Amino acid sequence: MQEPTPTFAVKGVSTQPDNITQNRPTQLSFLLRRMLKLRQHPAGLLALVFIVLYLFLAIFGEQIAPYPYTQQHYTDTLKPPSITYWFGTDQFGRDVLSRVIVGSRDVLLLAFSAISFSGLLGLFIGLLAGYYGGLLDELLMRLMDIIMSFPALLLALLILSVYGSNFFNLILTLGIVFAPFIARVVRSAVLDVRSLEYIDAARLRGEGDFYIMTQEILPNIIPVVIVEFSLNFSYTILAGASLGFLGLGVQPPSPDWGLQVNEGSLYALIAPWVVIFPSIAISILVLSINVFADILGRILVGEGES
Amino acid sequence: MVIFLLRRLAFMLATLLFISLLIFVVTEVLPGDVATAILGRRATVENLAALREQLGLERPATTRYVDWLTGMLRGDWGDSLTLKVPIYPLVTERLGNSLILATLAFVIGVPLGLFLGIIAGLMQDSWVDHLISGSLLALISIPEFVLATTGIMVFAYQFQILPATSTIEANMNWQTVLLALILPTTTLVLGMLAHVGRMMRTSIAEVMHSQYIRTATLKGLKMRVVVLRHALPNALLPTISVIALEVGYLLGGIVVIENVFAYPGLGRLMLRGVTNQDLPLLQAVTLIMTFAFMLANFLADMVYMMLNPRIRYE
Repeated sequence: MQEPTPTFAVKGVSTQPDNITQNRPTQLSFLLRRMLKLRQHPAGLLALVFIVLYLFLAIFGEQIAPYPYTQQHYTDTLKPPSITYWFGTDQFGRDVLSRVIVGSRDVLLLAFSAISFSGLLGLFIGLLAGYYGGLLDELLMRLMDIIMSFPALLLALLILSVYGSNFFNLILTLGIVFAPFIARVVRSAVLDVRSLEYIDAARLRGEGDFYIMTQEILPNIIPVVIVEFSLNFSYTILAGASLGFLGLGVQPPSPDWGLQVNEGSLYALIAPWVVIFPSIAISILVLSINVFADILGRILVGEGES
Repeated sequence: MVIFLLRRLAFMLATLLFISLLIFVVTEVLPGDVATAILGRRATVENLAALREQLGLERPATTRYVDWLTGMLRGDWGDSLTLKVPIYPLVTERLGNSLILATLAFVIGVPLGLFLGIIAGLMQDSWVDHLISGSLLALISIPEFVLATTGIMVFAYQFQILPATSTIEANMNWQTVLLALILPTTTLVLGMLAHVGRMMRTSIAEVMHSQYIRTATLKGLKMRVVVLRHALPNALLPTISVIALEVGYLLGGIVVIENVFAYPGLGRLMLRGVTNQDLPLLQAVTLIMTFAFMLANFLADMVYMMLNPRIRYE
């Protein structure tokens, strides 16, 4: 196989003659190629590095943490940062560093589950409303309007206070609160695509509604959906942390950062480190995601189809 | 225009009705039995029956909803379960306090955000823009409770120039009240201006690239005139919608901030209702705060309409 390769061919992909169907990039490779533009954005790369670091800590946190996050050192309560306890200890003598590390697990697990739920819900509603239009669209969107006319945090507080706060309820609540935002964006993206000719072609071929929605429309709106997901991901983290801070999020002895700041704020006068480190941890995480989402938006959606 | 106003008003009332229904369903109908939910492990046959009696749970849900709604409209909001006082005077008093805080944050935060956004948008990709955009992005990434506790640690604990708690009472003199308001207001302002500023930057940068702005510049108008007369009215429109949504953020922020600073407003009252499962109190506070949010959205629509003469509402 020593024939000269065409300039546009990617090594190892295909040595066969040009064929439109075979050379058409798959959705995944298309997305990946767009993602390569990330190289031109150092801030986005840095943000990505931080996000990966947080993910790593979330997965391997308990192995990395110097102490078990619930271990109480009774003789070392509220100790300042030192060689033994890098971030100091809290009011129970628990190592703040270990709690901050393992906390990333609780924070990310909750936010990720919640955004997945609200993402799927929003995607489903947005697709239905945008595709079918008419009365169904009107009904679904008015329902979204009603949910959105509650201030997000208030609605979450209301639901959680009645049904109690546990992991499942938190996911459900945050999911419901944020789904309308995603549904709206998905709907308008679907409306843009729906009137295109290739959808008519699919319909004339006799494809069913479900096939058209999932196989023809969905791939085309994926970039918009990804950007909206990542934006709402940071909102979900902030909302989850605020709930944790108010005592209605993940419950003790979880090392959730919001909860840590809440518990530590009583001792902030004599032991500020109990508050400072989880505060920094959450701010950097959310900032990284926001920067990444910002640049993802520019790469995937902003620069158009060219 | 009058027709549009009336339609918008009718729609708002309809939504409010739905919202009241939703609040009622979420708090009283879905969990099966509220009394069991409130008492939890402390539930015994006697105190369950007593609480059901107190809440009037033996009546059908529809009757209870109608009673509750008409009560709300008449100003008879029932009694708080834990505080044992009528809710109406309690809520209206706290509402006043929260309004002071929210209004201050709004009046300072929105113009400041607009100003920063305009500067950054006009100087797009300069170092000024990078500085402002970067700071605003950092600000929207920091949770309010972190800003608030940091404020306390720096200005109350370290430098000791501002009070750590903002419990205000009627007999305090205005200097003390003002001093107590600084930290909570600043925290809310920072959040507000970040969201408003980011939106304003994007839309002014977009408008400045449009053809008609180039025409205005090329025909020799002063930069100031181009920006104020031509660019700003158009760039403000999308920002107004964001500002209306920001009020929702502000109301959520108020719950957090009031609790950090022990400020006697609606947010603190709400959390009290939440932790004590004081349902009548919770229902009333949620309804009032949601109503305030809707009113803000309504006002934003009005401003939007006044700024945009060519707008057509079907």
